[in-house]
Amino acid sequence: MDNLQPKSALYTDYKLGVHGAEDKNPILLQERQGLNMLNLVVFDDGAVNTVLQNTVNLSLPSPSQSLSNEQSTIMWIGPNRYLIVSINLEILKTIADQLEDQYGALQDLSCARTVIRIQGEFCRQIMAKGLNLPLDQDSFVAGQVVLSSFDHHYPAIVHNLSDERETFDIYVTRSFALSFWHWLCDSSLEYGYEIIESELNG
Amino acid sequence: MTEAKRNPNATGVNFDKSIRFSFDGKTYSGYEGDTLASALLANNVKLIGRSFKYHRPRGVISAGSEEPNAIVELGSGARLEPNTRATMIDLFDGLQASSQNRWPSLKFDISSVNNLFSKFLVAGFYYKTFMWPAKAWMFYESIIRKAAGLGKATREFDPDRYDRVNAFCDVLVVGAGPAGISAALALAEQGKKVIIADEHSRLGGMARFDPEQTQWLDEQLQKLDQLDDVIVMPATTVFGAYDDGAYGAVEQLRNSNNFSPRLRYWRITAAKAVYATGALERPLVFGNNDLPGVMLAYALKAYVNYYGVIPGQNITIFANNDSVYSLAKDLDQLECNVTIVDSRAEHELAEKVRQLGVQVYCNAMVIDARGWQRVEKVVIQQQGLEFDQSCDILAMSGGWTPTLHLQSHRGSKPSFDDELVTLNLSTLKTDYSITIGSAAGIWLHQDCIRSGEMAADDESAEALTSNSNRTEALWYVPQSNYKQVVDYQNDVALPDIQLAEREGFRSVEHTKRYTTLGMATDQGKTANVNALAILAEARGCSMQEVGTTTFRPPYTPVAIGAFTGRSVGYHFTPVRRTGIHHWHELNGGIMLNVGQWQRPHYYPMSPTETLGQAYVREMKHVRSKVGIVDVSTLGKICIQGPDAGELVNRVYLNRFDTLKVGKVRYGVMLREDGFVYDDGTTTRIAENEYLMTTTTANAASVMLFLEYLTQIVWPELKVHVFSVTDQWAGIALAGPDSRKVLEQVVDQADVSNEALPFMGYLQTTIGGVDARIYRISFSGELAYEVNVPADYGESVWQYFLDKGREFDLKPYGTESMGALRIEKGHVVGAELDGRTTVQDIGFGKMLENCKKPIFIGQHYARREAFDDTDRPQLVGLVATDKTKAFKNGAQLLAQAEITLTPVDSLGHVTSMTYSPELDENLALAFIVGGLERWRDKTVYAHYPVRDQVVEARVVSPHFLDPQGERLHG
Amino acid sequence: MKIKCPYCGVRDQGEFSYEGDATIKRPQTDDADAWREYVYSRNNPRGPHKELWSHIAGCRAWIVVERNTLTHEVYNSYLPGENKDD
Repeated sequence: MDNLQPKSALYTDYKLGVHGAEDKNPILLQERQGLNMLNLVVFDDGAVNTVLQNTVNLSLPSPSQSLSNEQSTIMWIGPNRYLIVSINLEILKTIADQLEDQYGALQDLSCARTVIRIQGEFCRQIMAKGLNLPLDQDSFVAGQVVLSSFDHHYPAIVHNLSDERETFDIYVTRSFALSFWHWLCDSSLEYGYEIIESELNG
Repeated sequence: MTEAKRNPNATGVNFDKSIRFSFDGKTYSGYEGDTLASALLANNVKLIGRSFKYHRPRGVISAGSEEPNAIVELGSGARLEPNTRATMIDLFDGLQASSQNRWPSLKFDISSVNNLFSKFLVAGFYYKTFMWPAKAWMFYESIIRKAAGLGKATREFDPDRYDRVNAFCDVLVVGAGPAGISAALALAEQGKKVIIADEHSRLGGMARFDPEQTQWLDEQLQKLDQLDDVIVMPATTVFGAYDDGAYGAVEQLRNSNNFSPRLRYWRITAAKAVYATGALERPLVFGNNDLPGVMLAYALKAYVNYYGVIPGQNITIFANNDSVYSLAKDLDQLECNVTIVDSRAEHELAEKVRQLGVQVYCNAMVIDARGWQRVEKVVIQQQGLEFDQSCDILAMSGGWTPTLHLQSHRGSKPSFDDELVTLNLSTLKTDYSITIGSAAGIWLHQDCIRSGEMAADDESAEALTSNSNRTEALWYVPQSNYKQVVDYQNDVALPDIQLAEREGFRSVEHTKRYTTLGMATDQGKTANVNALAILAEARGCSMQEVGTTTFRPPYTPVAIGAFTGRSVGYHFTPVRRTGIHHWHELNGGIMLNVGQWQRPHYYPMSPTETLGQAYVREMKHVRSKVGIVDVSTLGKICIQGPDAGELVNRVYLNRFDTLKVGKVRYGVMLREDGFVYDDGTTTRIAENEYLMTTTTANAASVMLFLEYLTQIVWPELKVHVFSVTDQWAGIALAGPDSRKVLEQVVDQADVSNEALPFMGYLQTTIGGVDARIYRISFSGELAYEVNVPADYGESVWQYFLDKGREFDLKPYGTESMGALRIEKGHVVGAELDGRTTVQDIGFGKMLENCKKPIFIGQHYARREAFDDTDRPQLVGLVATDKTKAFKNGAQLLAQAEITLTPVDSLGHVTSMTYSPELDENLALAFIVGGLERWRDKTVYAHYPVRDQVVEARVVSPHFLDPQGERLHG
Repeated sequence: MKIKCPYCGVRDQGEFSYEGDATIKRPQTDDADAWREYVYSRNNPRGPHKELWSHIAGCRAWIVVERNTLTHEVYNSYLPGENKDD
């Protein structure tokens, strides 16, 4: 039995190295692959919280927020809806085993979105080209999750990871990912960007 | 050419850095800090353009963006920019510019002959001449068109980048003159986030031109630079004020790296705005007031003090207000011969200035300026006496008008203030803005600063608005003998406005459009108030009664490129790609845009195979052997929760409460008005989990509809819906040998007819990859639809082809896929166009069998009108002549020819294809009375636009294998 | 025009899809007049209007927005069910 290989939505245009302007600190662009991403719908907050705490040591965050531990992050992505992102590939089974249908439901959406991590001084300026909402250090802080669409076209979840290191994870709908990647690289040209090796998880 | 004198004490120019540029092919030099206008003046080039209609010689009259005359073409080739104001172009090395609207040259322009006929070419002459004969209009039009316009745009592709950015702040300060700067500093002290923008590349507003304020200005600008919370944006024009604190601005960038945009369009959202937009000086309306060498008084001050150009020796200043007297002092100190002609009676200021040796005539007016292509003398009249005065520069000032465009964009209309003799706002403060400085009618420097500080405390400075610049109205000089220009750019003169009024175009909106006053690229900034006054006098009413026209964005012209940003060429629209996309591109798939998606249309076997040949070949292959097609784009919606089954059952017309786990069912969805909305297959994946598919076209709308039902209509249901279209790549495998191929690719599963019957479903693995297999068929052949996680799409597709090689598995595209379903009479969006009911498409039984208490469409689906047998119903058509193809949209009639007697159409063709298996040309159509009335009868499908008629026989729409034997094999 | 999504905050109108009158209710009976009202009849007020918008480019929540159809001023926005009067 052959084991077939997955391919990222970006694989045809993922050229490592520095591109664009050279007079500034380039932002780093990196795809994060192999993550387990689960859609969680909730019918009973309390019951689901109990299950999550027992299984993965997390609870449900409030709207536009996220909670993380070493292995996993859980993000609010809509009314009664959450995205669990984890490097633990068993996580779906672990939670599903304890989660009763009447309280909530899980769905594996590990391929529905492409995850791009951007890091550097000019991340907010670059995102400001495509998102029309306040992105400054006071308005968009670590742990916060923004649901919007870049340039009116690319539906995305943006997760602010770190206050110190200006790092953001962008979860963009997979079918749009390559187009979005082109937009992102083009928007980063005037600051300079470096595509670094994908992070392969799991 | 002798150069004009330069003022070594100028504050805005660096005489150590010389710059070379060219104008109309001649090379000149200027200095860092010059604009094109100041550099040309410094080189004694006064003639810069020709007026729009009469081709009168024109020169610079201002030092800002209101400039109506010095409009040039900047650059060349692909970067050519027409209608650029020389007063706003910062000189750079290698700058190339040329004058516009003249032929063969600026000095000898043939069209200046228009000037001789100007008495006939008055306002509105287009409407009165060129009327006869009517047929000749198109001929006249082409000539008029050639004569119209100022600059010409390039036809080459623009190589530059343009960008769009969003920005947010607490306060947007528009204008960085003394008032704006002090507001920004005061706001920053309060910890507010401020953006301060100014259209000029160097800040300071009018303070730039006053040597007494240079030091203060430098200090303030340094303070601003050091503040982190203040973003200073020079060369940025805030061109529009919109709802909800939205402002549009465009930033010009010059010296940056290769990847910087040429222009950046900023969408700024500000909780509040402080308008420090300043005021514009008005010209005076006297004879030949548009000769090169005639300019606004503040502009002369700017050129002398800031740009260091002394463009003349014998300077006459003509004014009706106090503001020109400081200019006189400055000029006198530079050893020019200065004469002031003041239309007002004797006053203190005049006497003071006389003591410095400046000649001042009060109660006097300049009647006419005279000279060949430049001012050489002026004719002055004082109390009945006329005399000439030698003059090479005539500086005029008719008073000042606050710049209130942005306020007007948001609905604050200014009105004429008799005491200030200018326009003013009735209130300086609104919920979201404060107007300060000279834009508020505040003239004194210290008062302007104070008004800025007060704005930071949200206090409006109405008390500081004053009459400190005493002005007496002089809207035009009655005694002039030569043309008196009101709107410089559109070449509208005093008699044009009076003519408009005489001819009945009395409302200010009509006068504007009839004369075209205020409609040029400068929006009449230097013309509007003078024109209103002239109109008021002609009408015999007050300025207040005349009112004003509406200001609309943009404040100054904005290149379309700025709004376009990067949405050009490849980036014009996003592309949605499936997980298999790259394989199609590499292997000869011809891609088609389907909405935002790209789908493979067909796969030509050779460079010469056409679409028409390819789809027939692909159809034959699927029906005789086996093929695969990428169906990833179909909408897939996951429905989860204890009430998932209840929701599915309410949404479809047919029953889903009996659907077991592991089974698939075709469902028809109605609209609440009873018509068919969408169809698809829904699978029960688990006890409380369903996967619903929709047509590609309706995926988004069905998704939204389900969310409406779950969030608004039935929020009590414990169910959640979300799209999983992108999670799964979809591969449809179809043909008599499809099971054989499937057996090769699945790792272990039993996919026999018993284990996986028609409309069955199972989960398994393919090449180690999780796979969902649905036994459904769009083509009518034995077929399966396989879903794998999208990242594995490409490798699983290739795996299919590798394992299927022994059965000659081949890919097929959307063209043949669509043709196959037509042979089977399967309906798609072409048939479900929003006007069809279930009865129309032959699914009436579904409705009859429906006993559900709640379902979408429940009330109107049963209306009597739907039982009318005269409704158009689905049938199939076979062309009598098998070489003739139908056309979608063709109208069906019982007769072969159309005569002049109108007849009702019996129906229309919705889908058509050639069928290789039947060797016939087929179509699906709707016809009144359906099969019952028309079976085996002859009809004619008419397509009058292409003069086509196809004779056809009406048959069942299920042309092939009507019992569906292949499906159940 | 800006709309405040109760979850995501103030966003551009372009992120939302207009979804019609928020005051209509799907009839629970078979009453013909009630159904005609629900499916076909809409008031077209010149002034304050309660309407549904979906935050499709964001969290996809359905929101009730009180807006003035003449001036576009948005008075209020809240989740369905939050206003007892509705």
